Amino acid sequence: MASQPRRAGKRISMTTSVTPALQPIRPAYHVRILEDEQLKQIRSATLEILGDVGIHCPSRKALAIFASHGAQVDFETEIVRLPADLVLQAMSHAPRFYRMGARQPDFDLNLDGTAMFCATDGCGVEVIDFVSGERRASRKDDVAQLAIVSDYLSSIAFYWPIVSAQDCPKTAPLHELDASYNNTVKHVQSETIMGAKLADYAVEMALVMAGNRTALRQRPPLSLLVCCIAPLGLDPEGTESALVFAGAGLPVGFMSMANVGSTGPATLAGTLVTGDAEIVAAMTLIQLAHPGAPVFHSMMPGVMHPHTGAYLATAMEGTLLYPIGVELAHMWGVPTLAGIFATDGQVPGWQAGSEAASSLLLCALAGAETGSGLGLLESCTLLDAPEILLDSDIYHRIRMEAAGLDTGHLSFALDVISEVGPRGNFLKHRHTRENTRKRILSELTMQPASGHGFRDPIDVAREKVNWIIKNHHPEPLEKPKQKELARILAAADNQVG
Amino acid sequence: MVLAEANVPVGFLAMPTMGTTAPATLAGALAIGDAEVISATVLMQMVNPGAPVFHSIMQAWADPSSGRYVSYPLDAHGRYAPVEMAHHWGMPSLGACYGTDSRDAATWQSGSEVALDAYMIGLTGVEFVTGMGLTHTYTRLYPESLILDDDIYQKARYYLMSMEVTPETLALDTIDAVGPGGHFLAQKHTRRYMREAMKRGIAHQIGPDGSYRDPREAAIAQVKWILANHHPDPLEETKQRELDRILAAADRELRKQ
Repeated sequence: MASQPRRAGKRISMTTSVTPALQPIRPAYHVRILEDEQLKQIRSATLEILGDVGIHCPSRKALAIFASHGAQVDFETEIVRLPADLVLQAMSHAPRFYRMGARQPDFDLNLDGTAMFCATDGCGVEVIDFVSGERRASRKDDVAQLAIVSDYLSSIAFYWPIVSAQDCPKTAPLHELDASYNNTVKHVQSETIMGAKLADYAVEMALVMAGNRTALRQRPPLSLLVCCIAPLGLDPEGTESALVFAGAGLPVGFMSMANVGSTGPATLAGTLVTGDAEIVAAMTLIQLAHPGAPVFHSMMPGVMHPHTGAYLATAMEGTLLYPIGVELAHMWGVPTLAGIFATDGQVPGWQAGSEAASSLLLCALAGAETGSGLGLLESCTLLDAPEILLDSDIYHRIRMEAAGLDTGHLSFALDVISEVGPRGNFLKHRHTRENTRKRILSELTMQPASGHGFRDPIDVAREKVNWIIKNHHPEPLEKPKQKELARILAAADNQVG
Repeated sequence: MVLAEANVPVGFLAMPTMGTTAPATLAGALAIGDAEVISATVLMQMVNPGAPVFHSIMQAWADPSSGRYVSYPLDAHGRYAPVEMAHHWGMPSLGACYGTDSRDAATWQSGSEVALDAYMIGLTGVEFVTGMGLTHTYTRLYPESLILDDDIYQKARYYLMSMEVTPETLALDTIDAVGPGGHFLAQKHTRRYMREAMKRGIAHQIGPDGSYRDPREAAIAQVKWILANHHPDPLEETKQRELDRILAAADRELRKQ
């Protein structure tokens, strides 16, 4: 990396940069993948699983909540069976639209169904070192530096701490929040805060960011994603975190990563309903405990490689499950966090490029409100910094593709066509000068090389990442808030670490 | 006109380039391209009413720095609109796909630029499409590009298939048998369906060491295998001879001109 890495979590004083405005995807047209009848079949199957097979829920707190609302709970086996009426009644309280807040209001995410907001990938465990190029375990500094890059990119609307702060093992999720809040003005979503104790500290940090409890509920600066344990299991620590978050008014979502053939049946439909049952059981719990709490649904299944058992994010037909997940979320009346950009590619290249685009476009056209996944390789585990620039370039192609075609009267330029006439050229016309200046060119693929042709986009991306980290200085967090976050972190390190 | 009179399908392709041979607004470029295609189509129908025709527009963008022809800029919205225009005129469409601006094969650019083509153009209801196998804006052949483009095509084909939702595919009995916290590896249902649950693409070919092969290397190997082993049904000898005769006559006559 060209620049000196900054201290994670505590920014040094320098000239502040303006964070570029968000550019969400606003689709001009939509697609449907499943028919109404198919959605009804899936909903019916999910309810049948919840009622007959049940969900494993190894949290005494959650079991007590389920039992007190009429679920059939076996405290010995920790299996919960949910009658359909109970599920439907609970889910009727879940809000379809809500707002997620940011440090600056201009960067709030209004999940109103008209736009899709995207985040980085998260919780990677290895990094290609920015300076040495060597592969190593991820650190808090990496979270901070990619927060700066994410703050700069208009494609990134909210930040998932992109890798794990493994140099702060016991309280890594809180250090990831600290590194994020100090280096971006955007909304932060964690997917690693596990357990009520860590969740209490995280809510305290979010409260510092929001300023007061009313603002915390109206413009929550933090949200949480919890993975279920396929098949048909809820993670006890994650579930208890989610209950803490929901109690404070912070959005919580549940993700299923059921794997076709191992932790899910070997048919796509079977894996879908297994995953859907996990997510709906968790959302039902949240609505029973805190009716009306903002929740979201996230379906990111994989396909088991039949020879190796590996989780594949991008098998031929498997990616179709992501936009179907969007339709399932809307069927249950909640927003979605869609699976986008996942690639099994190991280096930036043809595979990563060709796998990334389709899931984003499909999910956007299916009406997804949010999605996460920019910036990591090797099935969401490896950070090689240029990848986030490459993914961002693809994001903007898709954003513009989804925006449709301007067919306003002036856009046809009939007067200009008439003036130029057959066999003429448009180079000299004022219309050409005016509109060519409005063109949005790729910063990666259209950089002229010395001699002829264009530079390698991966080289351009690597340079650009370095430039961003050296030159982009997001509005620093106010000093009192920095101190408060540091105080909370120290207390957590003392008590948990 | 000769082919139209013989009822051989004839299509006209407009390649309006925004800012040089077309207005610098996309709608204007499509309008001028459409006018070119439709004028030629009208002529064919005057020559032979009912002659089979098709419509094709492959709009491009002029690089404002160099004037260079660019197929895949960042703001290429409406890439697939010409298919709808063809159908609006009541004609089949030859869609524009692939043909990355990347000079080389198997690069990030060549994968990301064309990744959406097959899916999006499939959604529009296009009748046929060209472009697979070339890089450097339709000018350079790397045989392995055809395999890589085919991989993207196959993905799109699966995306566009209807998903089967039946009691058998929902597998509720199997889910019940496994229950929470179990696994599906030992189930008869898994053995029955796992063979078709994952269609292996070019990126998931396993090499001798058990890891995935580099997609480009796998594609090159596949090209070699096809050339060595695939022998399409040969043209009947009488037809071969007739084609040779026609070619020889054409060579003689056209050389004189």
